[in-house]
Amino acid sequence: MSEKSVENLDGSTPVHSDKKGLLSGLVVAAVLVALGTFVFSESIETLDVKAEELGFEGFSLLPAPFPEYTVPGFEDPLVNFLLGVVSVVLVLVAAFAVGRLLSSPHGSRGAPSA
Amino acid sequence: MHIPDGFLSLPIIAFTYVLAISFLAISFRKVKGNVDERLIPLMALLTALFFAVQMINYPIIGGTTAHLLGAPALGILLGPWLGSISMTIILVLQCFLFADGGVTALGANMLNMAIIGVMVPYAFYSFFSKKGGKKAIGIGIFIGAFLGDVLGAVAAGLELGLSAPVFQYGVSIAVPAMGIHHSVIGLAEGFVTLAVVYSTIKIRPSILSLNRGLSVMIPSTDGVRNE
Repeated sequence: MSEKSVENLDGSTPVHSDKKGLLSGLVVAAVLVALGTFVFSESIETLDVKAEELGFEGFSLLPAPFPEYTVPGFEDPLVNFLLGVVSVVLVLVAAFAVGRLLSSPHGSRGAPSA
Repeated sequence: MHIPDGFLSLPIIAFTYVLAISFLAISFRKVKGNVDERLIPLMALLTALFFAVQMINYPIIGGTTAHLLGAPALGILLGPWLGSISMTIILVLQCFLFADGGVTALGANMLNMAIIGVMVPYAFYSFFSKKGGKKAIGIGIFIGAFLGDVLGAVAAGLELGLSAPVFQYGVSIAVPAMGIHHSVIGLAEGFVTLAVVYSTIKIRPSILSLNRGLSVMIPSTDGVRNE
């Protein structure tokens, strides 16, 4: 597929669609974080249940700043939601940075398959 | 499926770390300089979205909950090597910022979710896409996503079972427990992966030309054609 057709397929310039796409994606991510914080927040995984039956709990060797996706000292779900949104942005920036590190100039081969 | 600290024996920790880091090094080598820079925003966005997806814990069987992995969609949309790197970013940040998965178990978690969880779905997708036709590709995506989740969980069960006496359940209990529960999650992962792959292609059709692995899905009059 030619370079021209890549741009035409989106019906807009890549830069414009990237910004629009990123913003739309972040809104979707915020909705997902809201669902995970306010509605589906309780986590009882199989592994936790089996470990509990044995009478021991997993622990964290290194102290994490936000254990269980919460800000220590704040019980408010709204704070957890904001932490979730900030975390999503952090993941986005980290992935962007790694992607830049691995990328090739515009118009090169694209992501390699297996 | 995130294994915390204290569940794995030292040999299993060492073995899984060596395997995961070797694979990560191969992935970096494979994609370094080969990723079209126009794919990067989509890679970053998908990574962030699946991080968010993993925060949603939905109820399954026996009073337990589960969350989607997102690894199959990352592997299919970004390619296996970049998909693995993308999933690794999620796991590393979850481990060090949120204590979701232990630092001693990071190698095992990478092996289960960023390697098996990405590679198995991609392999099935790739195999079925060679058969041609929209239906075959859809079946490949669904089966791949299902098996990616289940086999990742079975691997976690094996790592835990082989860690006895640290984790006191042996393989005969740990593997079925993880596998059965994750077969339910696998079904959900299959449907979600199908939806994510097709909707991403619909929203951003340029991904078809940016990722060579997806070139078989270039829309034609039949919807999808095999090249």
